[in-house]
Amino acid sequence: MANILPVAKDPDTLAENSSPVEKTKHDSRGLRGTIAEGLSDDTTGAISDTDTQLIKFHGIYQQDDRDLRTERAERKLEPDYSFMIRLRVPGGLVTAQQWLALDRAATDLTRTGTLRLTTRQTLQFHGVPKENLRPLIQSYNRMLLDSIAACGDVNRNVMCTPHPGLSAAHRQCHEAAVEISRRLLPATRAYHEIWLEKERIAGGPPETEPLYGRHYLPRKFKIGVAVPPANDVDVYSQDIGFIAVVEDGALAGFNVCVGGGLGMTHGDVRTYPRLADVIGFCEPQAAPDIAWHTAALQRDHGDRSERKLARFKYTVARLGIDNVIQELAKRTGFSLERERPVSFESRQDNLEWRRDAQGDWQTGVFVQNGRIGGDTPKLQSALRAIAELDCCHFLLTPNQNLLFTAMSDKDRCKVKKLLAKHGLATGGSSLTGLRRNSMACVALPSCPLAMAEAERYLPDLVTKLEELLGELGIADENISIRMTGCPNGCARPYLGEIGLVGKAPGRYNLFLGASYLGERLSALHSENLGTEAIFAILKDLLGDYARNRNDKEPFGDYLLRAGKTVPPAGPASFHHATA
Amino acid sequence: MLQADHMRAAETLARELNDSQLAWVSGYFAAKVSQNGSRTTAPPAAAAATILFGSETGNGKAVAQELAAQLGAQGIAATVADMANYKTAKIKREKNLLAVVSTHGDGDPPEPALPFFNFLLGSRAPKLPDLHYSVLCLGDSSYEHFCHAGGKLDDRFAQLGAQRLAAKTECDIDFEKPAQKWRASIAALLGKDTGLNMNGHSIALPGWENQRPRGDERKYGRKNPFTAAVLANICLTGDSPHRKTHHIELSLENAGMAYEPGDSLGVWPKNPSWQVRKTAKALGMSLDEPLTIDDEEAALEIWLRDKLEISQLTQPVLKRYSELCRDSDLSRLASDRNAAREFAHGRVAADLFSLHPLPEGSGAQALATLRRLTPRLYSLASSNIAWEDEAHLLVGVDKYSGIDGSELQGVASGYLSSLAEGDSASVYLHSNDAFRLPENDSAPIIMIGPGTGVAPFRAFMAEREERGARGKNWLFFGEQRRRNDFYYQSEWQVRQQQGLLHELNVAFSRDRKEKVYVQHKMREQSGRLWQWLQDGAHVYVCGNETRMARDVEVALVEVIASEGAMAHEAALEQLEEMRSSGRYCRDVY
Repeated sequence: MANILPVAKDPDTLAENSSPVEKTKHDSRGLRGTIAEGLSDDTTGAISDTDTQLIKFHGIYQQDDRDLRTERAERKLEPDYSFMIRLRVPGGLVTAQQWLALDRAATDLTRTGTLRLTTRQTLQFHGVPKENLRPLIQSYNRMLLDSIAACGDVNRNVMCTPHPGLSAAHRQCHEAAVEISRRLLPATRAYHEIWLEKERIAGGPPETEPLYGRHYLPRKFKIGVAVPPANDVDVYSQDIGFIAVVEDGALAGFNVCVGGGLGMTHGDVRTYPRLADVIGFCEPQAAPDIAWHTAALQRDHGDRSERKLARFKYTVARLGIDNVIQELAKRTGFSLERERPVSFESRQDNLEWRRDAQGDWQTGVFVQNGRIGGDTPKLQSALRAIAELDCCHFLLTPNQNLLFTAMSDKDRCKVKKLLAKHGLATGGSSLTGLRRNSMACVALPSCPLAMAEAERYLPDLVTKLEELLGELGIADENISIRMTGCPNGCARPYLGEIGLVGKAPGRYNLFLGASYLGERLSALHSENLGTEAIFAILKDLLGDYARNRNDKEPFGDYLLRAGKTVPPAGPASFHHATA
Repeated sequence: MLQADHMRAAETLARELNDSQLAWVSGYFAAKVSQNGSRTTAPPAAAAATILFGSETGNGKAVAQELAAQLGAQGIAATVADMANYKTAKIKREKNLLAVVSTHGDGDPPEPALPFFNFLLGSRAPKLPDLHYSVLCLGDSSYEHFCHAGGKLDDRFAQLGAQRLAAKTECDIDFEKPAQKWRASIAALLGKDTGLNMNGHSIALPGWENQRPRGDERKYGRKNPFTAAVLANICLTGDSPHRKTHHIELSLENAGMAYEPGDSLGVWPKNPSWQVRKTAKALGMSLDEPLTIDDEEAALEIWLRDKLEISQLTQPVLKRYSELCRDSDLSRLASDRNAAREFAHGRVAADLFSLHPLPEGSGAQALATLRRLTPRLYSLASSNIAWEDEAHLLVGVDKYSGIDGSELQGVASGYLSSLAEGDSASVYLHSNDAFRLPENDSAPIIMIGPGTGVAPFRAFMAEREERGARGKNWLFFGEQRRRNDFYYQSEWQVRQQQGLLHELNVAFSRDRKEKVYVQHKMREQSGRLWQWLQDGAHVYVCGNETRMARDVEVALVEVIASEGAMAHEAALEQLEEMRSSGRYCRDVY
């Protein structure tokens, strides 16, 4: 086959127009940099600027408490630096023993004392002082967990619809997610040397990085596996999405979609959220190969000069989807079949008590914004007590909730008793449809990118709206509301029927009209809204909806039908308000 | 070309002025020439400008640097400074100030520039009648408060009496063009009209500004303290339960109190009002009652607040009081040193008066048994050159529990920490010639100052920076916890970035499992310390004598002995030699 795309240059040479991060990766000696030296520098709680780029590849972000910045500057102190560590937990499966170790580490070794479930089915520690990084990482390493490639320009945590026990197809999909995660891991031993203190660091023979090369990917890369009828992983928001095709109760293969991604930059019309294009169908065992070669394609053709435009979605848009399909076929050595019919029904978690395919019990708890501990000490101690029973798995869901799975009848009784004792409700049916479908990112005070509150504000907004929903008689309707502190999209706001994206303290851009199932993006409705204005607009729209909706018509669909907003038509729809 | 008497005057000047003064004079005359409209092609000398930027993304910095280059090409000396590091005290001396500032969030200035904004918008900002300025605002018009921060700055300069060189320019995201226009107009204005700032007398003279007037300094002293206004009082340790350490800035304006780094400030403390009231109550007297002690008359409140030590008891006080009240138990206790100390711990004068009351009317006699309040000395944490007319102190507050569970504080440290902005304190200078920077500016120095002992080293570093001293600087600091107890951390970091602080070693005893102190860090650096000593380094130690300075000295002797391969005695001797030649200086307490 002839070359479809221009042949990539020598991958290990740094191009002249490369962005500064590319140079940092280039010079990093396999992601080592001067991290080890930085850890032993007691004059600061931070590490060097270039090393802050490199630790991301080890699952770590440097952050500081932004609430304290001004006060500490006056006190002639540096910002209150600490670190966030994100684990790699493909498919979100954690054992009870692992949970106990993580809980203990959060309590003993972080300043927040909390664990946070993320929108990509993994866990984060927040507020880890520099001195505690190694002890903390070693503590979960002993439990066979790691944080390799949980952040950085690599394949991130691979998502998968929970849980593996639900059916044979679920189990196969979970295994595929784990295998994809394994295949796309970086090969460098830097993580082991720096954090686990396994010698080397410098010298020795050069390592090879077969997939990533010297510069890794141009930008982060996300993969998710959805098992219909659940689209809980927001499969169209992934760089690569695998949609399970289940025929006669067995996994026939996957519909493959590529080029999704939600991040954008306020005011930069070259940036926009994009849904993935379905490019065909593959056999189950082909998924890891497709993932590997798609990542390699992005490695060779992604934009390395401008990080804002470096996500795979822009590569797909630039090359054209047909060229991507052909190039991928060339690389894998096979063509995809025609996509097969699938249909989604929900993005929610089933948190009720129910039996899985093996007859084991599962249930789940709603976790507001995924935060465990801090303001929710009861939840934290209840989960610790359940983990101490050592009779179930902990499954982290794409909606930042928690499932307990694989319980026998006897285990079920024990867990039920404990839940009652701690006053913890499962199922989430006592919650309004809006709260069940609410999601916020971390934002202030710890996220350096945040422009506005998210996790600390959304629950209050939902409470205020719940009163209204009650009056309107639509408290049980599933309406998804998502809030982020910046436009990068961690809580996937452009796929919420109501999306609020922070712009400045107390100011948000309102996005409306996404489909409830995550198959259509929303569009920018109005800009720079204060909290009063947000409430006023939503009050009007929800009132209209309650009065004029059709039977079972989701809120996002209604807004379009009633002309309250328009479906997105190109990048401008995310930058220019329609209202 | 010149008449004979002019020639003689020029020769006299050439003989009497130093090099930098001569350089200034040459610039002065060059400017005069251009001012007089002569057609000389020589570029006008020294229309100095400072370009201040406040930036989070680096755009502001880039614009500032481009402007500097543009001005430089026209022979205008331009200095670029980050608002984050800019010494606000300097603003009074600026003539031409070009500010480039971006707006963030809800109309806020860039985070690093916040302290600068707080200063300029606050009550401490000086009048700036001699300043010419212009502001370039960077922003994003999709935000409500577009270019708000720049606008605030522009208004405030005008309010402070400064004159706009050019109207402010507001730039949207695509700032390049308007910024270019602004740069061009500034360059044209400054280039055309350099006479603006060449009125002679107000120009800062290189070399001369370092010579401070010393004429008036004898006016104020221990007996006749200066009343210094409090400019700032910052608790550096925040709400840490472990430590309470304050940074206090006092105004010495019009005091004529010139000082050198290494000097101390004497502070006359006052007793807290609750103690004053408690003591009056124990004596059964009212605060306005006049009282004569040692032929000195004053109201009781004045005695208790300003003149007597009422929050500490000592054995002699107990002795005198026991004789007065003829209590045999108290007499016995007062004659035993340990028993007296034990009794005194956590007790104040009011406790003594209540436990052993005297008959009514013996208040003056009771108070006469107390010691007089005395001033306390604090090493100055500031340099006169860097902070004109200011004195900075680093005050660690001694906290302990009283016998009744109340929280007691050291008299002076408690007093200083309680002062609010606008209050004043009675102070005087106490010079300390035994703790001076090397006269030779290229000599390296090693500063060992854990805890509040770091204070004079802040002064040293500021002084050396202002002097342009080339000698290398090494600081050892220690405390309990880095997060809250690293005094002046951000300033040390700036000095590291500037390349002024060459080595910084810290020991935080509670941050890791092993307790480490400065002497451990010194031993770790043994080889390099020795090298510095070989290079002629001066060693300074400041802080607690028994808990630190002794251990540091032991470590020093060890370093000399091991690295210099000499016997212990020889090492001791070498240290003594350093001491007597002024290369080993201590300020310990």
